[in-house]
Formats: sequence, C-alpha cells, structure tokens
Amino acid sequence: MPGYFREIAVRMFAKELKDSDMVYREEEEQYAPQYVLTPTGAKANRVLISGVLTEIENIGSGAEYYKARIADPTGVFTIYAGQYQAEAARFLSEAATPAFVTVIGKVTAFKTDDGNTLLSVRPEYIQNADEKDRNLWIAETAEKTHERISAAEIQADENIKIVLDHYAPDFSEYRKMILQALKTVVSN
Amino acid sequence: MTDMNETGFVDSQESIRLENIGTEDLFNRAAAIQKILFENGAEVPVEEIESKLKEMTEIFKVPAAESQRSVTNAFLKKYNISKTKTFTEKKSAAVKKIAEITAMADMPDTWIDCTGKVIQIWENTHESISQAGLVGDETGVIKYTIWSSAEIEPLELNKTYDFKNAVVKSWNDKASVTLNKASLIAPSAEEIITVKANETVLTEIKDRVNELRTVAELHQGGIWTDLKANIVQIFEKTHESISYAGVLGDETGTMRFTIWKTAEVERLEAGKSYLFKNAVTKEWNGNFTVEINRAGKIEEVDEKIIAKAAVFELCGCAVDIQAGSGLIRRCPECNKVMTKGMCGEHGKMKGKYDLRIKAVFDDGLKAHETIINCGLTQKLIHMELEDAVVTATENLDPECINEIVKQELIGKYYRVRGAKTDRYIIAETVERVNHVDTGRIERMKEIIADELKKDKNEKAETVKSSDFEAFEKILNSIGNEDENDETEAV
Repeated sequence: MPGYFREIAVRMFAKELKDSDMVYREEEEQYAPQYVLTPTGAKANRVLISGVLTEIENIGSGAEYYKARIADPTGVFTIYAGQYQAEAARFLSEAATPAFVTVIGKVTAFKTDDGNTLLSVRPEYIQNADEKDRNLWIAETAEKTHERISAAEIQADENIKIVLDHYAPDFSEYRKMILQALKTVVSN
Repeated sequence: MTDMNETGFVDSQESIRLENIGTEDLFNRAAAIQKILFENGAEVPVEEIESKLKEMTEIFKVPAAESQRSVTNAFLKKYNISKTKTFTEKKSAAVKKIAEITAMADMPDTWIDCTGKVIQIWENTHESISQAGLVGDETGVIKYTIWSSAEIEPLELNKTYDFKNAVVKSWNDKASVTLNKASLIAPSAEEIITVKANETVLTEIKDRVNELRTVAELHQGGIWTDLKANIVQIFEKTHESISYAGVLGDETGTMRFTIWKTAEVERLEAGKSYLFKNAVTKEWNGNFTVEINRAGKIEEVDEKIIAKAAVFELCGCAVDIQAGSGLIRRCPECNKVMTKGMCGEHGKMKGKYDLRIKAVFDDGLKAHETIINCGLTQKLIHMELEDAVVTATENLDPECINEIVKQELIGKYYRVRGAKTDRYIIAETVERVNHVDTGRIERMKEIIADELKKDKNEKAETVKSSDFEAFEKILNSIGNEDENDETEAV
C-alpha cells in the first residue's frame, strides 16, 4: 500500500516508557506521526500494554476526562481518555479496580513547566483481560525488549546513536527489568 | 516592487519578470488577443482586454504569458468561441477513404479527414487515451485512437462519424488514425452500411481458440489464453469501469485478475471456480494480471480447483477491527458488500446476511490485515449467523455484532494461518493462543542472567582499565603542563 502503513504497536514495559523523554516527529507537519525514542532504541507511536488497572480518576471539569493507572511488573503507565476516546472513556467510567486490562493506544507527551517530558498513553482500545493474557504480553514484551537491547549493542544505526548519546543507557539495568518481569510469570 | 514583496506571494525571480511588463508589452499582448477575437467574430475594445490583463499581472501577480493565455481563454469563453475551432480551422485536410489511409504508413503525421463506422471499441490501456478501436468503410478497416486531450465524447459502436483534422500515425509499418486536441468528430450524415473486413476482424478476436494455460504459464504480458481458476479474493474498491477485480489461483499459483464492465459478467463469487475464456495477460508494476474484456467471457465450472498460495502464518495481538466487520449484507446480484442497504452497482437491495471480520493482527513487526470468513467468525464469537441476525434485529442495530467481535478479539493473541494476497491474509485458521510457553520463559531467564553476569565483569574491567589510564596520564602529565586539562577531565 503506498502512502499508508499502520504503526506497529510497540511492546515495552512501563519502566522503559517512564525513562523516555525523547519525542519527535519525522516531518514538520502538524499531523505527522509523533514518536518516542526509548533507551533501548524502540521507536514507538503506538503501544500495546497489558497490566492491572489500579486507579481511575475523573479529572474532567464538566466533560468526563479519565486518568487511569495501569501497572506492570516494572512500573506504571498513565492513560488519559476523554471525549475523543469515547469507547475507552465509557470503559473507564464503568470499570472496577483492580482488573486485568489490555490497552492499545498512542503515546502522547506533555512538557511540564520545569521542562520535564511526561509520557502517557491515549487509548484507542481498552479491554478486559485475564492473567493469561497478561503473561503472554510479559513474555512477548520481554522477548522484544531483549531483542532491542541485543541489536543496540551490536549495531549502531542512526537511531541507536541518538539513543546512546541522549540516554547513555545502562543496558544491564534493562536486563534486570526484563528478568524482574519474567519472574512474575509463574507456570499455569 | 516593495508592494510585491510585502504581499509575499511572489518569489524574487517572478517579481523581476513582472517588473518587465511595461505598458507597451501589455498593450501588444492585448492587441494580440483582440486580433484572435476579431478573427472569430467578436469585437472587443482593446482597453477592456488591457484592463483585464493589468488586473491579472498587477493585482494577482500572474506572469505575463500566463495572464495572456488566461485572458484569451476567458474572452473566448465569454463569446462562446470553441477553443478547438480557433486554432484549427485554418488547416484544411484532404478527405481520404480508409484504404487510402491504410496505405499511408510511410507518411506519418499527415492531416486527413475521413468518414468511418466504429466497428470495435477496445479496452482502454492508458489514461492519456480516451478511446481506441477500429473504424471502417467500404474500402477497409483501420485503428483509431482518441487522446484524452482531444476532449471528444466517446464514440458509439456501429455509428458512422466524420473525422476532421485527424492525424495519420504509423506503428510497425501499420497506419492508424489519431484524434488530438485539434480534431473534430461529428456523427456523419450518411451511414456506412457495409464495412469491408468487418466480419473477419471481429471473429478474429471473439472466436479465437486459445490454449488452456495454468497460472504459472502466464508470467508474461500480452498472452491470450483460456484459464480455469478459483476465485481467492474479490477486492471491494475498484474502478467504476471494472466489475470485479481480485486474486485467482489454480494448482500452480495465484495472480491478480480484472474483469472489465464491458465483459458483462454479472456475478462472481469468491471460493467458486470458473473457466476464463479469451482472457489476456497484462504486465502491471512487474506483476502480471489476467484480464477479461469485451472479447472474453467466464463460465462457472463444477470442478473444485484449489488455489495454491503460499501459506502464511503469524502469531499476534488483535489490535483493530476494521469497518465492514461483523454482520454485513451482500448484494444478491453481485455478492458485493452493501453499505446502508445499498449496493454500489444495483442500488437498493434486500441483501443477504453474512458474517466476516476484517481484523488487524500485530506481531510487533508488522500489522497484518486479515479477512476472516463466516465459518471462522461464528466460532470466534460463539454465535451462528442466524443468531447474529436475531441479536441485531432485537437491538435494532447490526453494528452491535461488530461490538461483540471487538469485545471478543481485541487485545487477545491469536495464531493465524492463511493465504497471503497483496494486502490481506485470507484466514484459513484462527486460534486463540491459550498458554504461555513456560519453556521459552525459562530459556530467556537463563540467557539474560548470563548476560547480566557478563555485564558485571565488563563493568569491573572498564573500571580497572580506566583507573589504569588515569594513573598513566597522571604520570605523563608530570613535567608536561599542557596535558593537565585532559587529566582533570578524566
């Protein structure tokens, strides 16, 4: 298909997203897709998350606007859903905590007054899941993250050079993160 | 000049050119336009033309030549003067019989007039051609081509036309007639009844006996062939002059097909097998397609032909369900999916219910668009087609089935097997991934634990070596003041 391709839903743990603060667009245009470049070299516009919904808060004044937290074994993702994420907002208005959920969504960035970049996820879909779904996600995310680290250590392409320069990542820290996540998966 | 810069509309080069339009130039251009108009019977004061030109060049900052062109055309339009007429009527071309034109292969680019009856219209092959075919008279038959730029209404089959200002072209020593911007075509006062060679030319194509070939034998353009194949997929969005396009296949492989409207094929269904008669292959972007046009036809065959397609397998998460999933209605005439009770071709129809899913499975490397048929959909959503119809009716909303599909599939992992076509995977099996491969997890843990050990050792070594380097530098720096800065940096 010329012109259009669907952005891959990148698999990454909460810690990796929390450690990221490099957001960019490849083109200047207003509607050009926005990407986050993470410490292991993932370039993500869309993410796939599976974890536990731990907190839901309606922070909207007037219109409903939900902020929710989804925990994985390495940290917490923050998601925001408002009127333009009607399905997700409806889900959050009815959901109970804690609950296993899977989210497909876009990474969004917010710059605070003191110059910090906060990353959150704007859900396209949020669905009930179970422990098995969560474990499948952990296994897959572990594998994909490990692949990224191995690739970054062997071959430095343009993105990896930027990543190494910007984050100076300690990959053993991320290996520990993967191990920590894998340890939560007990055979079922 | 300053004004122009402030508007910001023109680049510097353009401004220079604009600056050069003096009053004299403007007047000359206006006079030229006036002359053209006068020749066509319209008397316009030169001041009126000049003021229009001035508006174009000074207010809209249009370059002089473009302004002249635009003003000329505006006046021609105002006085209802045909553009074609303006520039062509001077040419007088010789009236020729078709046989005479056929003999003019060695005189290309000669302008001629002729009268001929359209005896065949061919499939359009290029966007710059509006129509091509054969015209004939009692002396013979010749190919004609009407360029899109000629802006001439398509000719009708079996009608006689007068062709004015046509150009003879020669290709492979064969003459043909082309109609361009300067040409005129009008229905002829006299009808040509007998066309020489009419019958032979027509039968040549219609009743050609072709070899029955397989898909694997059609990897070349321009082969006229018969072909027995199974319809693997029918594309939904095609061109208005195409009835069906999609992918077909036999035991030897798959390829794209196009059935043009002119073939008058009424109905084609994915999964059924057909005999394609008088099909022709075309090369398209390095791929080959097989086409059925006016000369071809298709017949359904009872044989079960199994299309050989590379089996594609993936394991991924369902990340999206595309529009047109769930409970859909197909046109009973052409089997195409209807939207809001309307068939794109047959208008309002009762429609036949069907279930299908257009899902996107993301394996972390690529998003795979997948089509899931009724049988598989029923299993995935634990609902029979009849129940889906009942549920939709009770809810007064067929979209509610799509909601069920989303609830069931999104965010879940599936293993999908199927045939890969250009864009979609046509699913043969779709299975929910039901258990975590603990063996894989254990192996991953071991590998990462090993790597962590290595990381630790390497770190210890780097610390050691950097200590050593620093020590060495301190040693070197003694008695060498210049290196002091660097030492501090370490």
